[in-house]
Amino acid sequence: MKRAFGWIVLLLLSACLLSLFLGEYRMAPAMVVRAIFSHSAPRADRFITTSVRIPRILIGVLTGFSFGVSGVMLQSLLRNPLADPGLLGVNDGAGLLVTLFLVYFPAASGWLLPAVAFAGAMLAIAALLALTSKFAFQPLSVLLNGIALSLGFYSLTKIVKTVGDWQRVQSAIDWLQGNLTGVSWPQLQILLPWFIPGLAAALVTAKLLDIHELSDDSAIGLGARLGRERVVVLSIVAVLSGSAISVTGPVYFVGFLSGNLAQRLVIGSKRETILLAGFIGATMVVLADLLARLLIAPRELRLFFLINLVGAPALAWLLISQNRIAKLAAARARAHGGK
Amino acid sequence: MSRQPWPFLICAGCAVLLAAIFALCFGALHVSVSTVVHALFLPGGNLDEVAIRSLRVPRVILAAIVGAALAGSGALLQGITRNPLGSPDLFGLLSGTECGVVVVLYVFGSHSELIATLAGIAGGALALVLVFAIAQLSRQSHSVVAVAIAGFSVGILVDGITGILIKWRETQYESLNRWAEGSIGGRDPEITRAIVPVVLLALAVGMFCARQLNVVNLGDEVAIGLGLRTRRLRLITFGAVLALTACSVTAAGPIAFIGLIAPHVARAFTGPDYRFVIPGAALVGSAALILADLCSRTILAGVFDELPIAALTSAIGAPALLFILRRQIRTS
Repeated sequence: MKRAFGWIVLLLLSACLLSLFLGEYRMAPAMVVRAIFSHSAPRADRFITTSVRIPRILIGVLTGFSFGVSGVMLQSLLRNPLADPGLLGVNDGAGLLVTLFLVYFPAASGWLLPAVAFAGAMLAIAALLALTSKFAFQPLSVLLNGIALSLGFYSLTKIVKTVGDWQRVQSAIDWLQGNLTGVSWPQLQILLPWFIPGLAAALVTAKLLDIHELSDDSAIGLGARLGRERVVVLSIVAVLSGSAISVTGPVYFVGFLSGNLAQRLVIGSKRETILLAGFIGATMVVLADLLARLLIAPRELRLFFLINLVGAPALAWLLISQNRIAKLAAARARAHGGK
Repeated sequence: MSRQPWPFLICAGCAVLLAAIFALCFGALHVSVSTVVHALFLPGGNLDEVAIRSLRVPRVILAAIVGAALAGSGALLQGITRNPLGSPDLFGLLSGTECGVVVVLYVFGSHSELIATLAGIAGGALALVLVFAIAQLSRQSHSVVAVAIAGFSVGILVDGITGILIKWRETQYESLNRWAEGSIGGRDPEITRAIVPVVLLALAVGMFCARQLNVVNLGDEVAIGLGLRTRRLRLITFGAVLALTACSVTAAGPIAFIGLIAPHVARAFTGPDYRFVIPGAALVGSAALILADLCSRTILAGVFDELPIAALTSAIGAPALLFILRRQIRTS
């Protein structure tokens, strides 16, 4: 357990350092260090490191962390290893409202964006629950319903982008590309007031998830108030993934991948799983962003295409090993029962 | 609902004609029906008539043929896999075809539509094989939802590759972007001329298989017991499906959901007999795409750009998919 944490944090740190040192604008490592710590460094170097690379890395870490944490929370709340805020339509719901907001209220301040994204995420979650609650949350059906929802939101977003005023749409497109191009300190300031309380709340409520993961009956027997606690957990998911979306635009699979990895690496308390998934998600986003910057430099790829290249085969593999999923769930239940 | 295939087919045919007349009359410039008739049947004429003949007629024909191709491909897929979610988009076929076309046209820089279409067929076939391999390996090839998820994941994977390729060759970005979003505006009339015979031929092949598809839908054992060569039937049907999808993608880019929904609409009226479902679906698809194209041209007349038709079809299609899923889960 401890070892898994150690490795992941090490990986995250090295990914961050790599992103700091590598890029289209070439600088020797010593120059980078000098640009950060000394005022006598060339202005261009200072600008590239302190106003472009460092905030971008930090935002990558925070958004990846948010996606990872919300992935784990959704997976254990719905008892569905296939859950992911992106695949279940949460991202595109948030994206739709953010696009509407950017196109029709361009004067409003950027500080409102995470709130708008949060509302969109809640909207999507409510729609998904309404659609699937009757059928006892069958994993595959929930996923397919989520995919349909996210397609619907996505196409509505596209329509808004076509109908809206051209210049405002351009700003929305710049904002919601599904990558981290052009983010800097202001976005970080917008993100932080949502990220910190969201993460704290996630860690506090982690215990609830340990119980929810069992089954409805046992959870009720252990004194869980299912309805109320579900709403709380889902709101936390909406806070974290919504605020992350409002900076990156729709990104899929990060929560799905890091949640499943973390669940496999840790058989322990939910709090540890959540933290580990956060670190894995952060590593993934930082690494993917680095690749997106480097592969076809000077142009930038959209980061979520790269993540999709990993996520889609993983989804297929999970589908193939569905029997193993059932076994995994059983093993997890045993582990909890034995504690 | 009472099943009356022939009246439905006739009504659907009339709907296609009506939609076509509407689409010819309205647009950036509104003209009367008589002008349209003049333009269609008399040579020469004034500026309006020439504009209609050279701009709107090819476009309406393209919409009709792409709609028929997508819907026919969906109907055949649903028939051969017995999966109500069968459709070029949910099975990853649309993405695979698109990727094949993108590779040939924009990575190798070929200008031949024929080679593009062939590459599209190859890409689509590869995607289909992958999807069914995944479904088979998961031992759930008969699970309606599992196959769709397999198709989704293959589609996402291939879309990622396509996206990277498109971004990599950014020089032709504008025209490519327009095509890749699924749009039938501003296409070369030559393409229409090229795909019409192929689509009609593939639909005819599909009709030829319809009776056997009916038998397949009684179950594999029944089909084999009745002496049906299921493997050969599968090959022929999938061949027709691939040809239909490739034609539509080369001509108009990936247009989602017509292939899923048109067969369901048709089946609601004709009953399960594929001899009627296939032509019914093709007619419904044609009418739907003509109308969708009309909407995308008129709602935004005067705005700098048109709405990509695929955005419109998926905005309508996503709720319909949810509806089909609900019904599917309820019956199973």
